[in-house]
Amino acid sequence: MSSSLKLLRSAGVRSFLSYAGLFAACSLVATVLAYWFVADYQQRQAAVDVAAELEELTALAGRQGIGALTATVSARTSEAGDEVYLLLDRNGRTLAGSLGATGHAAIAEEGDIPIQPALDREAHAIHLGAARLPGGERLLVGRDTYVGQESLELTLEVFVAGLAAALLVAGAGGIVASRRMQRRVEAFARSTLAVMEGDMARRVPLLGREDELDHVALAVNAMLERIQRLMENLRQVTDDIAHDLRKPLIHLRQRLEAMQRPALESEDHSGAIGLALADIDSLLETFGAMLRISQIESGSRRAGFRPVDLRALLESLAETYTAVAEDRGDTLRLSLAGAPGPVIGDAELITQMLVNLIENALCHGPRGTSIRLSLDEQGDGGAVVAVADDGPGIPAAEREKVFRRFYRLEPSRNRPGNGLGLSLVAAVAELHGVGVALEDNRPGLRVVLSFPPVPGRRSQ
Amino acid sequence: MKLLLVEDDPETAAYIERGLRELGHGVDRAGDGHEGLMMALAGRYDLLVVDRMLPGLEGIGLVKALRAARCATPILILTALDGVGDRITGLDAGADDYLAKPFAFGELVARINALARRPPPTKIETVLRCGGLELNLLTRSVHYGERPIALQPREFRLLEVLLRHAGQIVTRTMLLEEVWDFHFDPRTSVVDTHISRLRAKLAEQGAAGLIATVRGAGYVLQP
Repeated sequence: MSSSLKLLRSAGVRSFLSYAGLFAACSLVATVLAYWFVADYQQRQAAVDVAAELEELTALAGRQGIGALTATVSARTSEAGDEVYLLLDRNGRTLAGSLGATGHAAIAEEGDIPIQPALDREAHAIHLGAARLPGGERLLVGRDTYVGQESLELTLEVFVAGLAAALLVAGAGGIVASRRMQRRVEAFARSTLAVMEGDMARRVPLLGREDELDHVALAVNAMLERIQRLMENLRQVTDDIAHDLRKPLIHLRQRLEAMQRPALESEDHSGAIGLALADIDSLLETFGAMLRISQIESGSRRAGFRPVDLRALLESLAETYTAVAEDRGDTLRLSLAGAPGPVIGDAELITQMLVNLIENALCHGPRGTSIRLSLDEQGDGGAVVAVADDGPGIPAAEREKVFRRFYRLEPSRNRPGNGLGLSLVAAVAELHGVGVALEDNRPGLRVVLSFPPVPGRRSQ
Repeated sequence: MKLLLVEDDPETAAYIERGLRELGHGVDRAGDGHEGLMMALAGRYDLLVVDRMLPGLEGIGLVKALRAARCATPILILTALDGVGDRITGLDAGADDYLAKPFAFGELVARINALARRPPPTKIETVLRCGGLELNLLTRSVHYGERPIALQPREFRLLEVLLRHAGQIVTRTMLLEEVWDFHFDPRTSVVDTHISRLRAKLAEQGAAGLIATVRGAGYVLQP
């Protein structure tokens, strides 16, 4: 019982039932209408035939006399067919014809009898017409509509039976299809349940039919992919917090504890407080950077994307950082080639990403480092921005790891910086669909940012 | 100046109030959004300092309500929320400036002074002057007395901002925001580098000593 109730609740079965019902109702209405029209046509045709024959025979009697009429009626009566006749003389005695009691009853009345259907003793419906001849004789002509009616009724029965059979077959087919659909949906639900219980790598099965369920499956899988990635990030962040943020907090505690010791003089105090404040500031900055990176990764900034002119942005940054580089004894050059159109993104984030890369080059290289900022156009119209320096570079083995939060290369361990710069670059790049590649600049590092082409723009 | 501080955290409120009183400002305090709204509408304050997270009517709502009531008093929003979009939300609501906690007190003071000093919006200045120095915004030219000074666009903008705040301390953060549109802290000395170049160019034409460094706070341009 429960499985048939479940079947009724299925959306597939419900829609099938409503379609079937509609189809059946329309068919029945059409059938009934057809029956009426054909039956009506048959009756009218019979009436026309009867009237025509009455006229013909009456005219015959008028031309050739009763004798000829009698002979004709007898001849026609003995022929097989739907026609029935009755010819009575003026006293009511049968001259020819086969109509029995009915005919007599009909003729008993005076005057012309309107054409109407009547029943003879075998209960067939007969269309009758009568005429009175000048000599007082009465002539009756009739059409037996039995065959026509029978065939009409047979057709109706066959049709209804066929409809019922079709509905049954369709019903069975519908139930089978619904069951199959239900199984797919259940597989769907099982997969998402497994994900909720912690199996983040699980995906919803696709049947490759590219129908509606497959479309939904694709969308759900994309969502699950994203959830998995977000959870990975979250896990990584909490790991990082546990690992790398405790260290400065421990230092801070030690510093403050040392300040409690009575041996300290007031000047040392204010110096120590200054250092402690600096520790706290750098911690806050790190937290702030982590928060920003998480926000960027969450993707909510996409809503505010606008066209950004990379060329103008790079020119502006070059103007700013050429001076900064000079003061540090380094050089910065800008080279602009091609004219890629504006990219769609967040100007603030792109600026920060580029600043991070430029400042990395400035901070990690020795005095005299030469930095090159460039903009190029790719074959597909996408822009390519590169920040290249001839500093120490990044060894090939570490290039994957540097994007991780808090990762520092050994030589830089003690330099200022919190190891989040490249994580932010990675987050902003990911948000914009920009590819990031770290290459060996021989010597030094070359960071290549490949922007996706804006649709509708082809390179000249 | 007469200031209204709307802040529900007693420690932060006491800290700000004490600091501002020491500078000679009059400070009134409101502990929640509704009280703040009523006091702001009733009193005549030169500036409002509003915390974003408030019980009752929250900071953004308070700002919107005040602007809807045609209150044109400058508003500075304080908040622990420093997300990439939060600043824009605050400014869109009608606030004039947005400062993230924790902040250096000097930063707060500099921004308060900058806001309170803004000229009424109907007056559009095309020429900024200070102590013999003249900056023309229409012709994009700078003169010291009769002598022209050639500046790069960035240097021009830097001088423009300092002139607009002439006599007031402008912090590095404010300069990064207004001149470079950087809403983050760069690791290198972007501001200092450009200030020193600007000073050199001014000194070349005899306008030395106009820009002073205030240790731990920022820069100030004065004759």
